[in-house]
Amino acid sequence: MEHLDKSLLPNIFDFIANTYPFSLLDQLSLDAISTSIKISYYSTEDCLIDEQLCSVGLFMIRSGAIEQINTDGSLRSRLGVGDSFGFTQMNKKGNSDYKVVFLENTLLYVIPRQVLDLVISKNAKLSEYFDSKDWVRLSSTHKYYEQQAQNFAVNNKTLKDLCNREMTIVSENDTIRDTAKLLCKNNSYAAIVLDNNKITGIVTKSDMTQRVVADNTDSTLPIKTIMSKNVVYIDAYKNTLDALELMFSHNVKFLPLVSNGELIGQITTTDLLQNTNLQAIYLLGHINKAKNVSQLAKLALQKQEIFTTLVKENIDQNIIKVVLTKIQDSFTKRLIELFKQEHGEAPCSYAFFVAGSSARNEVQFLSDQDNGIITSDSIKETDFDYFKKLALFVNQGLDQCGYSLCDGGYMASNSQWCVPYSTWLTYYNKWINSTDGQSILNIAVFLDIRYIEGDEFLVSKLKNTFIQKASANRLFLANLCKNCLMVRPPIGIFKQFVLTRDGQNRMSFDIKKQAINLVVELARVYAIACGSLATDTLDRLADACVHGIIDESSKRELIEAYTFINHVRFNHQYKDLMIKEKLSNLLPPEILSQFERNHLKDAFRIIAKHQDAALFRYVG
Amino acid sequence: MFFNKLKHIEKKRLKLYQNNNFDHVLEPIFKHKLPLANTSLSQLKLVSIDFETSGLNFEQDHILSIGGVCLSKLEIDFQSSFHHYVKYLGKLNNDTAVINQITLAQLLDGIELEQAMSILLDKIQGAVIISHCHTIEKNFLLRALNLKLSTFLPIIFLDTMLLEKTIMRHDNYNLDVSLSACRKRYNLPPYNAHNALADSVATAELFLAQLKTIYKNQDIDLYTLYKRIY
Repeated sequence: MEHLDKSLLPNIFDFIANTYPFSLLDQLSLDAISTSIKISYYSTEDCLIDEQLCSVGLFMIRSGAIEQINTDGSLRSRLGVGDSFGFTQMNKKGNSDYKVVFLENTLLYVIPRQVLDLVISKNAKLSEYFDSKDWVRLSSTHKYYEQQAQNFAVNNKTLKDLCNREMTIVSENDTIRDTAKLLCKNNSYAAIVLDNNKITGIVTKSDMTQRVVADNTDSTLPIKTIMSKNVVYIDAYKNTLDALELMFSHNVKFLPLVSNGELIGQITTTDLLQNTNLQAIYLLGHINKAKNVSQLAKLALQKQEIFTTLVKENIDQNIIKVVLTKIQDSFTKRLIELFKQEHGEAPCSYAFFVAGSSARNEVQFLSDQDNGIITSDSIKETDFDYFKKLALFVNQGLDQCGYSLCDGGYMASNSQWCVPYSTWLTYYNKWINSTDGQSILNIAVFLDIRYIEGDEFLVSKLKNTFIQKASANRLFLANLCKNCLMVRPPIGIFKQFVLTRDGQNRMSFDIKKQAINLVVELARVYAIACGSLATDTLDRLADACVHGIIDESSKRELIEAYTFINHVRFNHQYKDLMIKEKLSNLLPPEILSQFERNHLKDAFRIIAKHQDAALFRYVG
Repeated sequence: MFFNKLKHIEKKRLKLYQNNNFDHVLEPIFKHKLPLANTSLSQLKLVSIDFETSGLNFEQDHILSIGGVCLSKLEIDFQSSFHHYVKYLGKLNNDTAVINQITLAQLLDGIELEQAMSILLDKIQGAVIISHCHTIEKNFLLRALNLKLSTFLPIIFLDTMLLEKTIMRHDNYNLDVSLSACRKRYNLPPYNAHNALADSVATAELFLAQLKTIYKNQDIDLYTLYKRIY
């Protein structure tokens, strides 16, 4: 590259300069790295292994997500935007220690080994960082949970993953009788007729009844005489929603799956029903097609039924939260899209993010909305108007979809929370360096943020920066910890309840404020202390364990306590919904079963124990 | 078999070249044999290029800047990138300057058009070109060289906009095929800069994403792709 003006490619230079640990480098080294990169693109079909990884250099993920899989098949780590890999393989030859698979289409920047070697030789810090960390850390990005939601809702999971590869295949000239026998033997719904590896027809069991038995057809005739010739089939990389739509529009219950022109499997309506929660999928599908806010608001009414079905079917409560989060995300994304259709693309790069519980993938039925907008620093004064309108449209739209406006005003439509990147950075610096515990309490919601739309990098950059600063600031951690200890679990509540059985002085406790939030806040302190970028509570506890902040058994008991409390909460919300009560987080102890009380007591004790430990550790 | 348009272009080039029947400003282009139709894409020298212009009218508007980046083995090699502002002393429409984020000072400081074109021809000789809506680059190139728009150019353009249309045509006819809209569909990060270099890199990334989508891991040959586009 000839002496190139950096401003020409701000996104590449800025990305590298702001991605840890390159953010530690001087300008000269940064320029050397930035001008030497190679860019490549991989799809979910690709895999990097051995010579594709060894002696190559450092791979940085610009968009997309990957997994490193050890040679024994175990997961080494899952990485997202801003993460890097390949460093430990840089001086190896031949076989790599792991392979890399792509969870989604991924754009990689590769820093060649020679350049990296040169930069490292001049920057001891950098090499320390790579050597010690080994880049084994669990993912931080939103991708992970989206993935989990999809595994459940299978919305974007391809049919290839779901299909049945046991097929009944016959040739055109096989007899009707042989086909029928094979269908019975395999207990298949239909046979696929292949000629020269091409699908030429389909015969279902009901065809056998109608076209053979009812019509009295000679069963020694070749199958091609009765097969359906215009076969509806589907590409294996389509998703379940596509398959359902195709089945409905052609009124078929069976689809052969084709990949690169070759038959690889089949899928029936039953397969889809067994593997998916149709209603959630339908809702997600329709949200993406809604043409205006009132259509969205109508769709939002289905949320309750989905929630009650999930609770009733005893689906893991973590998955319930992920599905509800995914639904809220879809509403948000659709609203942004609708706005863009009317007002055009954004005048400069920006990111819309969510905060609080939806950032933690912990949306539940009562959740309100917390969100904000980061615009690029290069925004022109006149362009703010676009984002103000966008924010207002999205916030009001979400309100109409049942995500009530945030009491604290932590929403993008509040001009304070719709500002350029550098302003956000100033906010965080102020919060982190503040000695006043109260101010931390007020902005705790922004300690959990997750990207929704726009340039994801703006969010990951901000997050990287503030977590790094916060984890190094002992006073901030102490204040954060003190805040989270202001509420203690109501350990004595059941005893008191027994004492006040006469109905006077009835007590109730807030399961959100007095129980769930305590674990959420503890996990946040741990996560920030170890510099973890994870936002959701279970991941944060896992990261804290990896970094030695809590031990394995503490992690397990906290997760169990947290899971159980959520379980109680959802069950009571479900019961309230069933009897059309107004939902509330307030639980009068008398409605709890003995089983629930006993376990809640245990959960409270666990939380209290860990609160004390945290107090000792961070406040002293 | 099909009529192979690539062979036809090569035949015509060779004939014109041997008869010395071409404008000599195009010498760097004419002297190279076109790649064989069955060359796999990973073996080709590809250059993604982009021009920023003062407008879309080939007759009146000017090239304000040129930029490009090479790909080898289907990897964008940043080290090979180039970018030049083109000197322009005339009046500049205000809107244009805003859209292109180019300042007058940069244009005054730019290199002569003639020099820019000679650099460009040098960079693209023997290569296959990638561009988003290649008519712009092709026609502005011809105009800048003072050639008629009908002049035969032995250059293969792989047009990402046309390629996008071949992917989308079954689903949606009114699809937005602007560079940024296409990139979004492939989950490529938004590029907030609008300049010839950034757009050429953006186009190259889009090209790689399109190839992956259509051909998965197959290393297809030039002709297969060419046939699909045209």
